[in-house]
Amino acid sequence: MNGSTVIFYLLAALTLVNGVLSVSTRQIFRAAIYLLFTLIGIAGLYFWLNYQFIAAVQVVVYVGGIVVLIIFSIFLTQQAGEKLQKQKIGRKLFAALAVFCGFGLTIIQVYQHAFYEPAETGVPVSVAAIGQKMLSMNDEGYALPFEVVSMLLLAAMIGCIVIAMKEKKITDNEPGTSSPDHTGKE
Amino acid sequence: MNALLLSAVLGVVMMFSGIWLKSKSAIRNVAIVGMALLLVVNILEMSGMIFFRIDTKGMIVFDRFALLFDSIAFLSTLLYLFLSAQDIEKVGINYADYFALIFFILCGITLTSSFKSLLILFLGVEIISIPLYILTGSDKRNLKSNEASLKYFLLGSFSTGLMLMGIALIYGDKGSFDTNSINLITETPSALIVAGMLLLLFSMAFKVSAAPFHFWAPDVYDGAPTVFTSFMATIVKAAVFIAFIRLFEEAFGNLQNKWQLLMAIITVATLFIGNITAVFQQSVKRMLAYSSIAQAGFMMLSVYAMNAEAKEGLLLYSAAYSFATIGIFAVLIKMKDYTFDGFNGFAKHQPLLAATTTIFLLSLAGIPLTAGFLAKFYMLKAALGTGKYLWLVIFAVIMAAVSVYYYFRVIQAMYFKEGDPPVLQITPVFKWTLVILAALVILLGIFPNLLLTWYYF
Repeated sequence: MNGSTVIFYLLAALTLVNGVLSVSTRQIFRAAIYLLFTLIGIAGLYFWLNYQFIAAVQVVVYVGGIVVLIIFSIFLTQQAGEKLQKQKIGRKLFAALAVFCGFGLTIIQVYQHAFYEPAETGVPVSVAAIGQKMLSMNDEGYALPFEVVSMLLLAAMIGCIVIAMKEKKITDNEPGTSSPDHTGKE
Repeated sequence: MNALLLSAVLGVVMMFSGIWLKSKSAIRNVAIVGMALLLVVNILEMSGMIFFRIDTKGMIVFDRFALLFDSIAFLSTLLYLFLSAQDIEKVGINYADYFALIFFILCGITLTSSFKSLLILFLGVEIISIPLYILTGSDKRNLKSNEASLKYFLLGSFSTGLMLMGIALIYGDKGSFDTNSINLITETPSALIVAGMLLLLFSMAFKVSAAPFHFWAPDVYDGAPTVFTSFMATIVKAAVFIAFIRLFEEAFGNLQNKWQLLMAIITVATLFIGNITAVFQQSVKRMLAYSSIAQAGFMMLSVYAMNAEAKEGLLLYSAAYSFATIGIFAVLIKMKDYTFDGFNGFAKHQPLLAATTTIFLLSLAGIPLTAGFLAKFYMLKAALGTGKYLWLVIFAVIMAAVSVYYYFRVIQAMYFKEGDPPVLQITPVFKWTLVILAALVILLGIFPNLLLTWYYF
């Protein structure tokens, strides 16, 4: 057992333990924090595999973005300190059964799949290479989609402003439309 | 290429005009002039005058099919702006931004109608979808609009996720986003390709509101402000159909015998659910939402058949359907009461509006001498041309007969019932645009070649 394997098992343990804790804890805020460590563990696995770009994206998007979003929405909607209700035993049983079935299915898939060594050792893709490809105008470059994405972001940004901007007091509007009770209650 | 760049620029122009121009009519005029310019520039490109030559590395190809559809979409949007631009004013305070979003949607439409790479398809669909989520929820004080927007956003994001997953699976197998190289499939496609194709099929079916992925459509169309329902139920839906048929012709054309039965089942389900549910609606707006599902079922016939007639027919269908539905919605916006009874006695008070509405409804029902008849005829002919599944064609004809019932209910209310419907004020421009639309519907119903010759020359 060399150092690399030890690191793998450590990362796997970090991911798994936090994953289990995140679904078994009764405090929803803690669940989010455990999820954070699970995702960091997965990012560590990517680093271990030498996929630096994916690892960085994992940290930036999931750890940095998604978990923060989850924590924000917990604070906005729930009482973060309170414990959730205890689950009924029947539910626990069926949840365990579902997990067991999913686990079994995955194990069967993994053992049936014939893993083989790649014929050529893969070239490690550096972040610089990805960046150059994204902006290159050559035959294999993705400059055009990259530019189109900017348009998508612009449209999304305008949309955010339209939705989120506070409306000024409208006086020249028709009567009835600006009154607060016109909310289409059914 | 002209239209793609110009529509993006116009979106930005509209954004700034919201800051610089104070009066609403000035903003409206900028939008209408911009739209007319977009149409002219696109028609110029069809006749060979391309202003920007950009090497897209085969990711976008502006062929006749794409350009002609873009022209139809731009013409419909121009007429839509003439009819309803004033009503957009009442939705909210961000008047110029709504036009900016509409131009961005048109930009997405030019992308989805001409893509050759799945990456561009994905970006185009997203550029169409994200502004639509916003437009759906633009009536911020109305809870129904908020609910519709949230529903649309959640379900739409889910289907986008499916599409991305499908593209990733296909890329994993072929190592390319290019539709032509995906189509180089041997007799037995790999599991990755099949799974990717199915995911793409489901997500596209969701975007065109084909059953069983139609659940969002009635609520969203009903909840959105009526001006924007008119836009998203017509032009956008037709555009996604163009992307649908392109995707399955160019990327999965060799696998046609594998997916054709699935497509036939989706078509039947869409026709059945759309038509039967529309019969039971009490509100004209909701009836039109279900009717748009039913019309999507007819357009699905072209994706199912996938031959020369299907592509011709889809172009004609998108024109006929867009013109007629935009017209009906424009009249509906002017009504105070959206139920069928709200149309009682409409013909006595507004004879011109009632006459044009009747023409639009006849066209949607597929009565001869209107564009809708020939469009349906092309679709059925294309489906017969495949030589398979005759029951599909028979079923479609029966469902077309069912649709006559709920379209004629409106006509009956307008002409044969007494009532005094309150109508908002009507400008001469509105009246004349409606007359032009009705004339176009009849003209295309007699001379469809006026449109279809553009496809070849």
